[in-house]
Amino acid sequence: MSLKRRDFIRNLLIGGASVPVLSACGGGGGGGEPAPTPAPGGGETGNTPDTPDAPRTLRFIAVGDTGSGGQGQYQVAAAMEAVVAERGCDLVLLTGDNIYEAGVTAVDDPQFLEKFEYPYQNLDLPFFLCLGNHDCASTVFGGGSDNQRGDYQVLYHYSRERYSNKWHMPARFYSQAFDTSRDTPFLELFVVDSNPLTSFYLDHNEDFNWTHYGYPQQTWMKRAVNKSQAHWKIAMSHVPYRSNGKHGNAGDLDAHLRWLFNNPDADGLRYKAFLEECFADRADLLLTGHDHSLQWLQPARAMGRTELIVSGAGAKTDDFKDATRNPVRYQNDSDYGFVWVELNEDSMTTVFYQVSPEDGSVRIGHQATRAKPVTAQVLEPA
Amino acid sequence: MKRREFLTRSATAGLSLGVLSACGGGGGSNAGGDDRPDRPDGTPNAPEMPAYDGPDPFQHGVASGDPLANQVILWTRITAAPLDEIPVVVEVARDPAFASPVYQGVGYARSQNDFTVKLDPLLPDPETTYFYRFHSLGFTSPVGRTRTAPAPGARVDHLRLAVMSCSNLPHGWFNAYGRVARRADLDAVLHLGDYLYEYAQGEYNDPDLAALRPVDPPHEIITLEDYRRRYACYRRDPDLRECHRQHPFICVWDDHEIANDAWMHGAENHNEGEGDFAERKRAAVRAYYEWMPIRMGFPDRAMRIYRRFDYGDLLTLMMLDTRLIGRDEQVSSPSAARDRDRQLLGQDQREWLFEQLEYSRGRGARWHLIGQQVMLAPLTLGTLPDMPNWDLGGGAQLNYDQWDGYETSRRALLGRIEAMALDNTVVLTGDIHSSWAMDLSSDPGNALVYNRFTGEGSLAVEFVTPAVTSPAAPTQGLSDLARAALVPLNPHLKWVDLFHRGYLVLDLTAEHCKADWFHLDTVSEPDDSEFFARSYLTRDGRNRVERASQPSAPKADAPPLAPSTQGIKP
Repeated sequence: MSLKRRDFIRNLLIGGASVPVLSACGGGGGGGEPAPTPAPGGGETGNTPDTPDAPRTLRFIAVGDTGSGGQGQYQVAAAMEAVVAERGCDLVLLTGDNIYEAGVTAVDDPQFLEKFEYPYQNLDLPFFLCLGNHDCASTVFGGGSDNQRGDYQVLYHYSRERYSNKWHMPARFYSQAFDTSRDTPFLELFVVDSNPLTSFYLDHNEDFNWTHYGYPQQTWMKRAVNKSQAHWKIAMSHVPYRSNGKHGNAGDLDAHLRWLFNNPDADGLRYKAFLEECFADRADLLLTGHDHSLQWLQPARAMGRTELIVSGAGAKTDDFKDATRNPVRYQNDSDYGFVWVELNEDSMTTVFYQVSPEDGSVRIGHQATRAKPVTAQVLEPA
Repeated sequence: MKRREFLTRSATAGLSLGVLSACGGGGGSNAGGDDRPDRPDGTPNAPEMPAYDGPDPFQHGVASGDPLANQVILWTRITAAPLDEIPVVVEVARDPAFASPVYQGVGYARSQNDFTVKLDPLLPDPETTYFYRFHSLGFTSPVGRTRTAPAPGARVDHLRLAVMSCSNLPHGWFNAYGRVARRADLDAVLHLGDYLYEYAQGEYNDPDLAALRPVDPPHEIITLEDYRRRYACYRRDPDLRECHRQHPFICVWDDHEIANDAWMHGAENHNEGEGDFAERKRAAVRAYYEWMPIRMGFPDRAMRIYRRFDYGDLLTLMMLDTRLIGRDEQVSSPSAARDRDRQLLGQDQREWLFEQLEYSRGRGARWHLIGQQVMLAPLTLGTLPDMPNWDLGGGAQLNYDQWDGYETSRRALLGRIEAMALDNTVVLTGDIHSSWAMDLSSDPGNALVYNRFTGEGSLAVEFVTPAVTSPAAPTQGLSDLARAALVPLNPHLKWVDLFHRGYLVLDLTAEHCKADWFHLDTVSEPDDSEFFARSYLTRDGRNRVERASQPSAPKADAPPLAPSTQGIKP
């Protein structure tokens, strides 16, 4: 029986009672961090036992490079509120650079309030965050040479004094399952800490070099993805696999600025292999930020069918460096914005929202519904 | 891909579960029990031999290769035109007199495979020397000797491998093969390619030997028939035949098995007048599988020869293809060599290799051996610090056909070894007709990364085996001169000899991986002598070479060589 028909009959039987759900969050943090506390999940209903086969749905917003605390961030936050009200949303994914320009230096750093809590005050949703280069930087340049600083963002997740319970970063790199009401989670999110792998400047703390951090992270991530039974698998990282913005493609990152850098890994050669080995044809979607624009790229050969989205326009915009470097489904470099995604059993609806830096007005830049990119490897018995 | 690999493997393994597993498919049931295969009459399962009154059909000897714990490829060829579909019975025993047989099977020599026969029998014991022979048309082949690998989990104290490359028949006598044939204590012979050369008679040779060692066909080989004839020509050489007869080979091709400086879609020595390169490549690859004792692991991907061998807990051997499966075209400038889009291995092989390194460490293998073709370490006229952020550095490379021409691929491999903190990687190389011992550092020209005096900062080591016959420096004097210049200019380079032909013996124990170079006085005439040239080793966990004064002692309990046979040089 085709999925479509099965869905139809399910809908008929249960009267279309497929409430969008985010029922439970289970998952593990990387690098030996303590297991995350269960996320509260923002007041959703969950699948009830009497509708065991209801088609599952999950909606989220992916936004990145947000933490300026400035007008741009507030304009985008307001647009997100409107979209959440109109379309519904279960969670927000934040693709890094959560706190500009140089991260936080304490768990009670007021920047948590100024650049996260206040701007998103009216969004009662869990945010799942990944670390960006600015979160691990010691200068405004975002050189990423102070990875230790990122630990404060993890500690904030566990802080009892935090302003709200929205901030979710149980570890520097981690995975998180969503809607675990059935045998297999509907979605599992895999969050990469890309800064130690690609920073402009060397972090002299040996704990963050490739031997002690990069490769163990890669090994952990690969195993986590391979053992995941989740229906949807989404990877999130800060530095793009491909981008038409100024930072460019992994393997040749920052081709025009790199001569200023001293980290021999600044071109992302090993990072590129990391993403390919962990996520190619395994994750349905790789979400990144770093370049301050919206891009939905055509799949790359070395990444298989995995879809590539850059969403880094949450507070800033930057012009493309080479708008034709990679073929795209859609791209925009003149507006702020974010992407709203709805995951269904066998399809994904993607709506890119552009927010005008002039007046904060919101418009849809692109929307599409596509089949689930990566089909499950393991078939259920008939 | 994973799943397909699994299915292919099961299918391949399944073939050999039966007693019979004939190469090229098909084949009837086996001759079993006490039936004497050379007297088929009266034994219902034995194949029926066609009438034949010609000369000995075993013109090209016997060979074995690709040993696994319970399998090894057995090979021979039948020369008995105009017959086709000729049954060939193989016997395998624990002793050269065949008093304790362990296997009998039937293969068929068919015109579609150039009358070559390959079987992949299931054998009872790992780490065991077996003797085999073929029967066909009333004749019996010379007795071959082979050896299974230790079981992957077995404890292994000592392994010895000969490493060889670059055997151009018209450049000299195969004295090196003759010497290796007599080493009874080898577990296998690794051949790193340039097993034969594609050139026409007189094009690349020692002119003094042109008449004595002519090649067939006399023209450059391009078609399937050409490649087959060239293999047949080489396999008539008694030293090469004897070496195959005594040892299992583990082979990979380099460029000359196809054409000089081959890459994925072309070769330096291929022009449009010679037709479609893809067709030539297919012909060369087909003849390779027909004539070499290699297992076709992926029947739907014949082009894939990169593969792995587990030798107990002592060694994982990864054989690579740096030629055909993923190599982008060679370039000729340092900046082009740094082009980040160019690859030497191709993505699939690179990911496979990285997985094998992790697998090898995970299963607790002491040594991770990478057998491949072209030099991994830089060869420069002055190694400079590498500055990937400036797309500069490394120094003035001399040969862009080796890893120097694929800077990104080398950085990815060494970067992975560094990231893994992987100890005990050893790279084996051929191709360059000379002997080298080198440290492998990600940045050998940078004194902050690599200390040339202590080897501090080295990630792995590389040993390069000389040619069987193909020449490098024309005189010892020029070789010494080159060494005097190259060693100071290349801090990671500890020793080079550009003059002598020969081979190396790799001696592996839990404490060391040691390369003993044996050189020949001459290849200009048949000669039995060799001399110990040099020895370098890397100790467990050190990842850098150091000189040793003596070659390793042979194994004490080496199994006997296969007895000599009429027509084969003892």
